[in-house]
Amino acid sequence: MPNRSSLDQELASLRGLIADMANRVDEQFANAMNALLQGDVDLAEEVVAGDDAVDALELRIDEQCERILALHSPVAVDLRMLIMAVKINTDFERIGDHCRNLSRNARYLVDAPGLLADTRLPKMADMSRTMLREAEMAFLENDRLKARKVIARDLQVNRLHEETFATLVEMCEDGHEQSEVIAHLLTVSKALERISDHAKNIAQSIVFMVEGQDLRHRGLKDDPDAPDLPPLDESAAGESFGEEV
Amino acid sequence: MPTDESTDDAPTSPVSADAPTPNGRPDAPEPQGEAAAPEADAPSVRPKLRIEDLHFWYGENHALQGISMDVQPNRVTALIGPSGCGKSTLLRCLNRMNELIQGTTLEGTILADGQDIYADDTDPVMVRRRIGMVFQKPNPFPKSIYKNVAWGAEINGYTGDLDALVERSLRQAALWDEVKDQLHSSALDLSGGQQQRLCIARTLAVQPDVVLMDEPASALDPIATSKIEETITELKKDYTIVIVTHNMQQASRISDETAFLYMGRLIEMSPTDQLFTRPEKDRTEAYVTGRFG
Repeated sequence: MPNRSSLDQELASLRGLIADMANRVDEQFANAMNALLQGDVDLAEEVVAGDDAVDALELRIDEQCERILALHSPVAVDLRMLIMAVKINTDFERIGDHCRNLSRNARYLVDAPGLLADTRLPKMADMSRTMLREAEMAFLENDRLKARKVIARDLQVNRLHEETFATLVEMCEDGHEQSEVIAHLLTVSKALERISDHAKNIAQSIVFMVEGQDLRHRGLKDDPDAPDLPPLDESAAGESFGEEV
Repeated sequence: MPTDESTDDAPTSPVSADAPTPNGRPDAPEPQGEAAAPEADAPSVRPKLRIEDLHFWYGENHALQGISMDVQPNRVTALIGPSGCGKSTLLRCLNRMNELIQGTTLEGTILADGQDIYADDTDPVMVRRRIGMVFQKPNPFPKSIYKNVAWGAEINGYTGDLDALVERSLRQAALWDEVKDQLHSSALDLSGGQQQRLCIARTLAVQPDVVLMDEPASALDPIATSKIEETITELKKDYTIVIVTHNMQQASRISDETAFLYMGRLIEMSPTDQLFTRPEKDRTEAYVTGRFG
């Protein structure tokens, strides 16, 4: 029989560390996109340097998970919490890596300030960040329905990525003079698409923790609780950046 | 297309997406407490033991209240639950041990290989021979190791090779290598763990189909407990085992199916991995995570 109060303390500490990780990664994401949108190379370098702190936090969370598993042998919802923690820890760290990679593109985009804004990339960035923030809220509130909303949104980001990819390829084919910048925009698009994939993974892990149900590798049609999403808002883009984080 | 829908670093889960089938009884009567609803694809193997709407009273105390469950052959089935939930009572019903207690009443049916073990024409001694029992505390007779094992067979008129039977039983109980050179020494000189394995060997010597174990390792140290658990895992190749344990880690380590009882009712019976990762009932989850009990 587990020592409930001791286990509860350890789990609360773990949840606190994961919340820190989520905040830190969200801040990295905001800074990375601001660096790209504003051509701010100094801010981009801050993001690259800040990835070490994300990596260090990943190790701390893993150690805490290992400690709880070794000392408490959790079962049922406690075990699912640990499994979720190990997995979303990796997802957050990978998002941190993508933020670093996004920032490394900043210096190449300085010479073409309008090109990025002309694509769907700001919209993609908005949606990816919304997913990340909703995933964080779903984790903090153990909210399985909010998590499902994140999962559904991933399809919208994928669609934007496909559109962006096609647009950029077309620009290259048309002999656009800034083909190197376009190549960097392609990597930005891919990084944003991967960030949304990781946010979706985080949301799936949260559903697993709350319900014990594994939604991976299943279409939304197979999940009776999947939400109906409104059509993609085609208007504002990039509005979630440039704010205080 | 650049979209990477099946993520290259998609997480892997140690838990399968396919929920195992609960071992609920397909035709269980209604009074099942909160027990899991049976599913259509329940195991098709004929159960070794079938318990149907079992009620049991100690005087006025209604200790078991409508238990229905199947025990599958060559599997380890664990009974867990807080003290007083009825798990030991249920175990003792399975080989008519409870009827030795005055003032008790039993209703319902228990079938062993399809035969009603409480039928008027069923000999309780034969039932206990087919369904043996190992108790919480090792209780060897104050005789030699050899006599402890051979005794049951001898009084049952065994006509085969007694030496071979003793060796086979001790080997099955994983004790042979430790005692083969001292078979005629007193069983009381053995350690607690060895005495418990001797009791298992004694039970096996009368060649039962089912072995019931009532907290067989609760009085033993971790190494002796580990030996008993290894023995149980080996024994299920040849026997059906039902074990009562307070140690949930032990239940999760050695059993294939786990039944959770609470206040005389079967709350949930599931494959053990499911019960300890994704229990269906809130009360089961609260118990296995230590939130009550």
